[in-house]
Amino acid sequence: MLFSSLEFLFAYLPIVLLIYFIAPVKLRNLWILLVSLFFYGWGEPVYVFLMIFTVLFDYVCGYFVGKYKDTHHKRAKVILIISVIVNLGLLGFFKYFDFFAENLSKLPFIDIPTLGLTLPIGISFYTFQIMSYVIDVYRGDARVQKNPIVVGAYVSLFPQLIAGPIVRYQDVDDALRERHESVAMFASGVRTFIAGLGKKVVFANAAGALWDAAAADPERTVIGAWVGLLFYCFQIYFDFSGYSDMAIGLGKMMGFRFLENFNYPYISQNITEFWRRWHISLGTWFREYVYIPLGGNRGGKWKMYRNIFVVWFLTGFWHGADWNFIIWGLYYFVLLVVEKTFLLERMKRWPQVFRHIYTLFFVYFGWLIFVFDDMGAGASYLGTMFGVGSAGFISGADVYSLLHKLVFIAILVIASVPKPRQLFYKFYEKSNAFRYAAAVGALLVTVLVTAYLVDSSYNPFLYFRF
Amino acid sequence: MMENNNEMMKNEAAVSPKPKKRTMQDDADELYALQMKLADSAKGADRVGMALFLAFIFILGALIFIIPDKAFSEQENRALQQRPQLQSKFDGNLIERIQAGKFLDKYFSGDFAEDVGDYYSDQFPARDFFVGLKGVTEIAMLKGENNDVVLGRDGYLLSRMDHPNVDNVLKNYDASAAFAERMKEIGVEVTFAAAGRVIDIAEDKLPALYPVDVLTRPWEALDDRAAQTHIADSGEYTDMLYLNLRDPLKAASEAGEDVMYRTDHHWTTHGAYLAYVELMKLWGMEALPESAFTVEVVSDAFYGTAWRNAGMKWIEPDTMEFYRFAGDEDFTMTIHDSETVMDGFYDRSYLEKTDKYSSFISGNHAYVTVEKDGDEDRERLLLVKDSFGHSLAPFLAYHFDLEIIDLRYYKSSSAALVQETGCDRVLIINNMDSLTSASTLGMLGME
Repeated sequence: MLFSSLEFLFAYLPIVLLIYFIAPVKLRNLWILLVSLFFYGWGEPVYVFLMIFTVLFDYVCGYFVGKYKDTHHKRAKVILIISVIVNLGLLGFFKYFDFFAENLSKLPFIDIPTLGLTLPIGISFYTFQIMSYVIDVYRGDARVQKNPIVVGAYVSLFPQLIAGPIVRYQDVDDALRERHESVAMFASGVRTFIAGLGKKVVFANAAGALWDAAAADPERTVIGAWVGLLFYCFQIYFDFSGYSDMAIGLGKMMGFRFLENFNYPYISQNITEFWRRWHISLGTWFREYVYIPLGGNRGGKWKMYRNIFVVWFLTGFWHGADWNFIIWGLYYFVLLVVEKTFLLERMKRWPQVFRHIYTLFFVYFGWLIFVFDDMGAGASYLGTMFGVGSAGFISGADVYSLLHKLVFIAILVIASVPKPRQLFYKFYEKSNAFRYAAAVGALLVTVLVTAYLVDSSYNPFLYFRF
Repeated sequence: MMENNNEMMKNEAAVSPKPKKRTMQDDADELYALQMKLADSAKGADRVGMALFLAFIFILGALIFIIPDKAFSEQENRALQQRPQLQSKFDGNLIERIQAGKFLDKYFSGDFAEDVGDYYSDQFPARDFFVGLKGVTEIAMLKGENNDVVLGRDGYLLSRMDHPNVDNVLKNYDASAAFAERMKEIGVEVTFAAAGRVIDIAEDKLPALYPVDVLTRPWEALDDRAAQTHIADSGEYTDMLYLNLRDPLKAASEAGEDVMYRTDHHWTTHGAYLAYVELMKLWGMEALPESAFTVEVVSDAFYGTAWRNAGMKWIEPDTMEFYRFAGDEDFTMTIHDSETVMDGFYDRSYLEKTDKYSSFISGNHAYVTVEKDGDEDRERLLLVKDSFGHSLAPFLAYHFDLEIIDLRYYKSSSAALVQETGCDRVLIINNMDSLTSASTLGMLGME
């Protein structure tokens, strides 16, 4: 089930909230677990068993890791390793089996059939979450959770189950044991949720439709290709950050404080900064659970580069089981190493606007690598951007289309910078009238989103009734 | 947690060069703290905001359950999803049900989830209001269109036609030409006529800079292909007569005549009349003058397909007319699909519904026959058509008895039909959207 669906907004969410707040505090985690499993099983009910297995398995691992870590350190370590292997094994099997089967079969004498399994939704996200539980316990960053319901609620927590943010166990350890839901938190959660919903439904979906049109256009011009990819940049940002906002907002309604997952990445002045603002929880996860355990920047320059390489190879591969994602990860590895070795220093002397253009330029082409898992199609798209195989430089259709998208593009740009939100908070703090206006405004956005969702299903199908 | 975050941000700020003035970065990095500060204590407006949101989702959520389900959408002309079931119907007790694999089977197959999605969109309360709100919003963003319907001048709604598939047009033409060759052997003349959509005809109603070159492309291809089958010296077509109906109707539209509906993709009855005149001219026959008809306004509230897609509820509806001639009720129309027989060409029951255009020869059917009562010596014409043929049929019926087939649904041999019913002439008429979107006329090759 998607947050941006009518059945989520008008059936699932009201029922979940109603019973959550009626239920005694002690039973709230159980309720979260139950509704999260239901949420997870929506559409693919079989995988609920996979989720239950994961929860129980890691509950047991966490329990014994916690029990032994001070007395029998070796035992604790073995259990930790088993838990990591099993978790990554499941992720590897469901997400990567076909990729390896296909590519290994290209070698002589090897023929592994592909399985064509449906990817269990959110497996990339929740696998990382559950790993953080056992690891945090092992490292002493979090206490053992004796109650399997709480471990289950943490892993399956429906707000971030499908698309993150990846919440580290140590960040919600306390909240899982005891949290304080409040009107102010709930209201703030509603605002965050609605903002995310609007980003997803009004911005991302519309930008996505324009990108799809450009990608499928048999007569793509140079301008058409550049503008099309621009819309993809907006789509992926508003889609992903919108989803994170919805998750964070839902969490707040139930008393969880999740950290920000996107912090205006498109304002970044360099690639290093971009990755501190884009999908922050993933970057944090890789830093905490891969980069630092590998030795981080201790142990000399070359070890550090090796570690950065591992992190970015994995980051790329995590995004999808295809070569283009690996290349996309390594593309950032190169950029980040170049920045680290000399460019960051050198860039300090550049005018701000140049640094900004430099960053957006590489991020922009990064998305081109990212979006085409068929790399041939990606190459031919790149070709049209530079006039190879394009239908001219600009067409009448481009002019017409651009002219009618100017306001939309302007809105997207404004929504990509922090100023509007900052002004919102400032006025919200100061003016009572503004606060009431904001309350009504939030309702209007919800109504508007509903309109977009209702309309997207509106398919007059006039002539095929028999 | 909050402190950690701020700490992290501060460290980051130290890496980048010292800002001389406040940057966007500074703005962005303080937002989390601001947000959390606001979440610390509740204000009156917070309660109001929360209450409004909850009231909206609870009330609408409850209404979906309370309001009785609609079975059919008049506007969209389709059956609506009814309340989803977790398991299929089964006669027997629970154990038998489990043994038969019918226990919560729809839930486990994922069908239930899919049906719930359809149910919520189909049965959503105040659906029209929401669809209209989206339309207004898109236009307010100056996008100039919604759901692929362009808002034109003078209240015209023009459905877009992007990337026309020219291959399909030529395939349709060639299939028709091959059919014409076979018909020629038995002395039956075939005419291929192509009608324009609103966006082809009412070009002057399009917004400024609208790219019309894409629209003309299939027409040029069609005209070229027809010209190739022309005998140059005599100026006559060899096998098949060809008629481009876009040019004359476009000229009439530019002269201010209402030849196309503003809210629908079809031609008006006046537009169909002009097409009839062109056809008669091509066949060397005399058309009835327009003054010979009594114009009956049958509806002034016709909201067409484009209107229903556009969500631009402020656009005024169209007027629909029947061009009546003396004795037009003395015809028998036989709808073979349903074995229904009617008098005249009009099914007025559709005038009460949304899909008013279907009042012409009772809408889409695979095979319909129209004959004049008591006159057996009339010339007989096979009309191979899409829905543009519907409002044309009454004019043709003045001169011919009609066998009307729609190859989207008629799955038998057209050639056999010509021979069995003794047709003297064939008219293949389709609008450009039908010609580009599928090679339906390939069915003509069927033996």
